[in-house]
Amino acid sequence: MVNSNIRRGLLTILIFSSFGYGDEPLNLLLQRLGQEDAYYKKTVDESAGIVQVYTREDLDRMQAHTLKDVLKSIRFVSYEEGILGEAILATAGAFNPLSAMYRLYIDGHEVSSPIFGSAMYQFAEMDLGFVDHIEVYQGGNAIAFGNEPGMMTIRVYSKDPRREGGSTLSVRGDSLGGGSASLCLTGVDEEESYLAYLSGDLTRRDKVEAHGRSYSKDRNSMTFYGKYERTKRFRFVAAHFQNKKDAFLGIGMHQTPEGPNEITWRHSFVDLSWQLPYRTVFELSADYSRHRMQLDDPGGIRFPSPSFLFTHFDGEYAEEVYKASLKGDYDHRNGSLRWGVEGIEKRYSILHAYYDSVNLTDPEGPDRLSILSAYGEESWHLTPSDLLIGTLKVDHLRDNDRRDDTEHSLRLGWIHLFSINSSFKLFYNRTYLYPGFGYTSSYLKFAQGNPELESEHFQNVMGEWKYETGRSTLKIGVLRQEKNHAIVIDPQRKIYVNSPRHFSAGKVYLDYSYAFTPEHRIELEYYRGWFLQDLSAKSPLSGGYLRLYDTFGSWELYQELIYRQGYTFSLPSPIGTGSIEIHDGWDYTVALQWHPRHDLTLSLKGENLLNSTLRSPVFGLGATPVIDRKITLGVEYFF
Amino acid sequence: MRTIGLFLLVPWLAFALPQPVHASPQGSTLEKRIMSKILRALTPHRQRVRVYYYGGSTPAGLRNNDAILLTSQLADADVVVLGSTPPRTLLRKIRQPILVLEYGMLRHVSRAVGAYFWQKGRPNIIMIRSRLSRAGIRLPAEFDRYIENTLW
Repeated sequence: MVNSNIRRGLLTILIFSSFGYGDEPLNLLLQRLGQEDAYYKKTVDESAGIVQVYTREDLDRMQAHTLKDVLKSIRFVSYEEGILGEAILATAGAFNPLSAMYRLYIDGHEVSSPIFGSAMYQFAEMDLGFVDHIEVYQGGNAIAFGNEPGMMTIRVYSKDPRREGGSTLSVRGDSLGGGSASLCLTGVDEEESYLAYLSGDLTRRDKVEAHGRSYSKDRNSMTFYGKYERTKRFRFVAAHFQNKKDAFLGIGMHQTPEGPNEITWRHSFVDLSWQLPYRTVFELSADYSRHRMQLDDPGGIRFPSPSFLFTHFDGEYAEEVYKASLKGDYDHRNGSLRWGVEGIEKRYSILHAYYDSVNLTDPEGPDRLSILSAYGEESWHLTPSDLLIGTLKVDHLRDNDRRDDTEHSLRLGWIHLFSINSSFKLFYNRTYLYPGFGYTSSYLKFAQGNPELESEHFQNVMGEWKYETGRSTLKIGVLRQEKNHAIVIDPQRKIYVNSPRHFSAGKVYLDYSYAFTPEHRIELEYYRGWFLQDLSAKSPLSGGYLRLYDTFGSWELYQELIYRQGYTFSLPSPIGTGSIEIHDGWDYTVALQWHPRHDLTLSLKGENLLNSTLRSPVFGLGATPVIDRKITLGVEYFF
Repeated sequence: MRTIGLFLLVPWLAFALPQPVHASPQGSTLEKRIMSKILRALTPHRQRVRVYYYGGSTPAGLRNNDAILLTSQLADADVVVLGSTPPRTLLRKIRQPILVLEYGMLRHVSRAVGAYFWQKGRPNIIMIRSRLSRAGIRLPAEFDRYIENTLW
């Protein structure tokens, strides 16, 4: 209970706006209710780490249509795209394309990829039409979230049917010829509620013209998300995501794709959870995904394995994840105890892999991994204003090709409330990232899998001081990260290996928001990262944003200017070595909404208006924009 | 898989135990203050508004609210609050101003003067000018931004 008091205190500081307590005007009461009773207040876990929340109001005002609209401005992260048009989230200065450090949860269910370790390849452009809010935990999240540990956890929560008040139909079209349509149905009664969301999207991207060719990242996608809840005791979620996208440069030696050059993903999951006695929750889930790559390049394609030259590749892969977990929490006199046990089974298989006419379907290396985990987290209220947190998680991992491993994660935290206006958080986190099948087996890639790979080990310390003065909030934070056994590509052998080097980096940030009036708000953020060794930056070391929220009657205006520092990218790549100069990126977005009636919203959004947006280094093309310059018009009808 | 199966047994045993009854959500102070403001505006001569409520469990804004006295007798009420559409027989008996708690009910209950409801994650208020005039209600100035001429 004491623990919940300090959490409540922190939550009050988080968004509380003090515009007077007397006979407040009705509009302020409504605004405060919208903030204080917002859905995220029920899900956000302030003791779980350093958290940034994108509230429902934020996402609506930003007109965030896909997760990319949020990822592009997350602190310490730069959104980039690779040679297949795939999303790459690079942490300040680093280059970590296959990293499992980014974890994505939808309504508490982790969507992951056994091959890549992280589901960001597939979900980075996930439709947000069914989403209420997004929480981003950085610097080592709570181990008690379960599943495998990560360094940054993005928790997405679907809309609460009880707060929707009806259903919505929306249609959008943009200046590049893209468009989307979605339907979100909700229903509630005393005992039950449901949400059903269906959307279709045609994303048209600016073509990149080079070498007398036109390279495309166009994408078609479909999303279904269904949620059924019964009196908070039982919840069933079923979801299906699929997209088919052009594979941009392809994987040919001379980047001369012709004919089919596309990647198709399908990911489905079901998740059932029951609230049991003694505040325990039992959860069962199953994920199934398939992805197919059809890549043609008459100029020839060559990989480390198989090593022969081919011009046509058609491969289809299946991934399965099954999970059962039991978790609970228990309040005692001085705090609370969270506990959990879980079992995860991951599988991967090659359905077919034609290298021209040769079909190689037997994966080398492991294709099955079982993980059994147990964890406990104690939150101890040392004084009325000091909360100590200690977490330990032990994982036993066994795959079908190599030895067993036992890994553990440890997390220590201290939260101090100086006053109702000011708080401080400090976390120490020691964890690991187990290599996915993409590193350890013969999944198609530019480097050969290595079944002998060890886990990457991380240690970090992150602190944040927050000061709130009613209309303004100031946050200053620092992060120090250490990494051992980093997985890198051996440039000679073209095989994944554990690096003998020790990597360490530091990061600082400053985040400030000020509400001039309830209708006008400004947010600023700046971060800077640096290496503690002599390393060159392979992604922006610093960045930030400026956001302006304005309301004029039934009009809502949102402006966002994102900054990412320039750098020189140099790295041996699969198609050669060299360097690419990336200039400072400035991405300016304006989003305007008009609510002429309560059941109708018209929207207009302009992206990359300065035409100097964030860019990725792509060998063969140079600095390539990741955000297109376009205007999107939308209409949403509520019924 | 066998070991994972063992993990399943434990919760099934626990699941066989009796289920707890979940408490209804705590009433929000802000929700009470908003509800009081609306209902007092509809009956300006009353310090404590007598409310007849119809439709499922009583909303948090009406429960334990010092400004509101819930009554089970329609005839005793100053205002009627509807959480769901009532039968025609009940509707015909209502002579008091009606506030509905769903936007869609404004269409079905033609005598409802306004609605207080959650829509797309935000709390909203709508008052219909013509219906207020018909009921002889003049709202304070702070309601101006919530008054609409037409129900679309």
